[in-house]
Amino acid sequence: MKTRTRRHAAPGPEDGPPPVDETAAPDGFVEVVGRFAGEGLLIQGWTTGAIAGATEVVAETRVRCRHAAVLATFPRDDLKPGAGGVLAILPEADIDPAAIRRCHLKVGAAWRRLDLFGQRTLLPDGDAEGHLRHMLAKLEATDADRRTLRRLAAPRYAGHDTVSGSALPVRAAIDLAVRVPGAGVWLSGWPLDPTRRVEAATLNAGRWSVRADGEWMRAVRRDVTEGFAQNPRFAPLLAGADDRHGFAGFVPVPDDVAADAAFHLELAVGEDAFLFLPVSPVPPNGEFVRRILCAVDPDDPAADALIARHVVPPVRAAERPVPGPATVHDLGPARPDPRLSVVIPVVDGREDVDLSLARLAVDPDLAQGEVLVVAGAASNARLPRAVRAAAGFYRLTVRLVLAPRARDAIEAIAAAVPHVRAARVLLLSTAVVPPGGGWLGDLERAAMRPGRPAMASPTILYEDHSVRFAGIVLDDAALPVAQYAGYPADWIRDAEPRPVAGASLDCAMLPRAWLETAVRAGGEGFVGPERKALDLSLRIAAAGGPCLWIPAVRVVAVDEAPRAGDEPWRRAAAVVDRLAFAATWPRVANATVGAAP
Amino acid sequence: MTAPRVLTIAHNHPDLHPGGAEILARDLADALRGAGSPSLFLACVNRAHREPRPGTAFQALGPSPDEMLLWAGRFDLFHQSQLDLDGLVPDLAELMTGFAPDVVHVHHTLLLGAEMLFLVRRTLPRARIVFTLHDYLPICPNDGQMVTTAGALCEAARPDACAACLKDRTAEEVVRRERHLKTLLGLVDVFVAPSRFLRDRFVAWGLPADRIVVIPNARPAADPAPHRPAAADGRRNAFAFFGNLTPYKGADVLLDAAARLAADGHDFTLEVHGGAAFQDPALADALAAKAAATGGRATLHGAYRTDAHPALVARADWVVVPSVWWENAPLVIQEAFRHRRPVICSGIGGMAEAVRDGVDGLHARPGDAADLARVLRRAMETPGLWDRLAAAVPTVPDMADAVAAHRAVYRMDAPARSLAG
Repeated sequence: MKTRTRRHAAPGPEDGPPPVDETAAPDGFVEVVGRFAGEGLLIQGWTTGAIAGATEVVAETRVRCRHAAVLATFPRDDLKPGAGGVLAILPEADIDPAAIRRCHLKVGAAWRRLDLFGQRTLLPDGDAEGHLRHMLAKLEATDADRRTLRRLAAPRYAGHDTVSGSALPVRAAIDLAVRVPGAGVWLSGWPLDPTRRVEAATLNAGRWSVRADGEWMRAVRRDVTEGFAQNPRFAPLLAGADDRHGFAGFVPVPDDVAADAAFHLELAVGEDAFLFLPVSPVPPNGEFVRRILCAVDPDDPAADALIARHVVPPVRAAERPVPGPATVHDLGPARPDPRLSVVIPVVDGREDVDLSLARLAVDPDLAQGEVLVVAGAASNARLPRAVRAAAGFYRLTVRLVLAPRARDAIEAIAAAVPHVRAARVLLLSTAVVPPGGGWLGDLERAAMRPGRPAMASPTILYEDHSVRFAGIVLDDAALPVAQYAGYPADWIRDAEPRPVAGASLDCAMLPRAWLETAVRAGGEGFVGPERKALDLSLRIAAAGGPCLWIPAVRVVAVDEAPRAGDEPWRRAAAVVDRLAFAATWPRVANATVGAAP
Repeated sequence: MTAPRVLTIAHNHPDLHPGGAEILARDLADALRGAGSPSLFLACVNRAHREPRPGTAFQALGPSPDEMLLWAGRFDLFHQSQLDLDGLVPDLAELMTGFAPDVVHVHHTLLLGAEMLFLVRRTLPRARIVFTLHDYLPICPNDGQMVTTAGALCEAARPDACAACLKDRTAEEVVRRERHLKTLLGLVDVFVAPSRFLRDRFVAWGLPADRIVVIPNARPAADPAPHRPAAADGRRNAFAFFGNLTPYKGADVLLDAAARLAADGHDFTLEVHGGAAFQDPALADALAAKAAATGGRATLHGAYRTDAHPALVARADWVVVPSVWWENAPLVIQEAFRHRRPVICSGIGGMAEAVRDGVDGLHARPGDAADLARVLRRAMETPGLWDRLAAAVPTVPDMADAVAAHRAVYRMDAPARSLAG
């Protein structure tokens, strides 16, 4: 997909032909001048020795600007021998025709001076296309130039849909158009083109345009076929045709296309006909990512390539974690200078966070500490009351951080970071059920060795005694894998603490400064929380914080939320995250390993 | 290879689904371990028992380091085909590489998928692949029972007949399925058949006879449950049924036979032990109605724990196995023999092979309640019959026998079969 941004020739005032002898006779005359809708200039007249093809023209106003031009010739029987009609198109010129004083036409290495004919015709704006169409039949030009001329002679986009009323057997509609800030436009819809007339689809915004249909994803749209099955015009054409009318795809848009730019889709139908469809992108909403994932067939043999091209870029941009606003309520005993801050993100509807608070309250290793309970977007409205009651009952210093825009644990942690007061932080999921006392101190001692701090995670087990987390390591392809995941815990019974590529944000101890740095640097967008968490962990490691796995410290994590199903869009999401991760961390090995414990 | 490393793969875990094949597979894995073989038992599960977990196909069932679960919930039953190769293959290959077994002993293609035999061969080219045939599923797409959907016993699989039986499959699909399974089963070095009957069925289907070894199922050694005292008149009139209540087990036929005996005024008891998990609720309702028709002589006790079996069988004189399919080598028969109970069974297939009519048990026509009632009446009323049959009950191989027999199979000289053929 080649992006093309039309740019004006912007020559300086002196960027024209050599000085001319004003007293000498001109080489011809300009008889017709007109401006195309949007941009482009038409100049028609006569001269001698002109050769059809690409050339240059200086349209002289109060300055002399040199422009690329396409020149066509045509015979004139009213001129002296050797002279002939010329019609030049300056596609990128943006000049008021009335301001033109004369023109200079480059023929070979020489310049021809064409003065203005006294009875010249100044075409009204928008009439240049019609005039060019009228002249096309008699013009002599190369095939390529003739195509250019046809294109210029075709109707321009006038801000409205010309597909629906077209006499051609082509119809189209846009179902979803989303402008992802900083990335591009997602388009999905359908063109109905049973006679294969559409040769190209181009997305335009002002002077920017890009071919949009090169590799877009196709989809079966039986509903479109059925919708036209009773249409006497289309029904005979649809007999035997397949239903793959749907399309979907992502079109990168450069940042210099204004955020509020008006887009339209241009369908090239044959050589010189164009149909237009307005496109009105909206900003991404909460359903956007799921909708585009539904457009992907994860079983398509080309799924990886299509997802990498069309889905990964908008997801990475749209799902990028953004720390939202947060309000803080201090509950329980005041403790302005806590020794340790425990951050508990709550991003589901649970009310039983008091169980986590009770376990922390009776743990002597949390003495002089504080707990930050971060209530995310999906948290229960009754959560604050439960936290307040628990803080009072257990005499626990709690900061309730209300982060209504935090969609997941990572965003909740990011929202909490500015409100963490201790230099040491424990990230703790509500799913984690620690054993009896001592584990917190063991983990803290492992993480905060003098002069060698680390981001340390314990072994996390499922309730069935299989391993949920025992460190993220890199495989032969430098991709991160969760080592021992699913294996019986007994398999790692004698393991020693060891550096790993990533820790678990479900339970990790680390210096606050590292967390602040990583959060401030931002993260990448992923669909699933697992990759997002891994991304943050790797960012911390990449910023210089080594990760440690502490096997001897064991906690159990109890997942209470039902697991996601295996619907196609979820499988597509897994592919998106895999590809997005590979794109984000192409050299994860270099970035994370080698840090000594 | 004195103590080979053995990876055992079963289609479920007996603690989750106590089917006969699952119990036998785990018992053998345990016995091998007890005999000095490093032995890992890997049991497949699906959503019936576990939800998948992110990032791994493995789970556990408890603290044991020797047992693991493999979540394999995306499975094509007809083709016995694993649909989630992307999810399973990396984890399974890594496990096999890490455990490095000398033998991979597969007990079923259910959930696992026949393709995993290819993965085993590719990952462990020097390992011996042993496959125990517990039922007829490779031959018969109708639940592997070799019983038609209309309920008739089937002698052999034929594409046209199978398509007519299944109704939603064409003969071409049946042929493709057969070729697919035979291709992948061709990677197996040695098949184990627990009965000659089953072996002959697979030989007739096309597996090479010289690669199928018959090893009778074994049970852990245990003291037999004591015989209950005979009634004052010497009658032996306590019957028991053990097993999952599926339509193929014939519990309905047995209850109908009991109803006939009750209607004729016979004095007897029938205790039915077994659950109807994952069955149509209508089946349980129908069985309850049939039990009610026996006038209180038959009792449905529901599912039972394996360790409760001795106490339950102690209350019975006879164990009845009225299956309406061929069976293979029913565990319930061996459990009965282990406790010195003669068996009344359908006189077909693996049952007829395991129970000698008039020697250590009695045969009845499968699916024929009237004939079964006749045999039950004979069992109760023939003086001395029970004592004679009980005395002739054969010894059941124990796990030491099973380990010795399987180690012989693991050592068999046949070269490991390569992917090329």
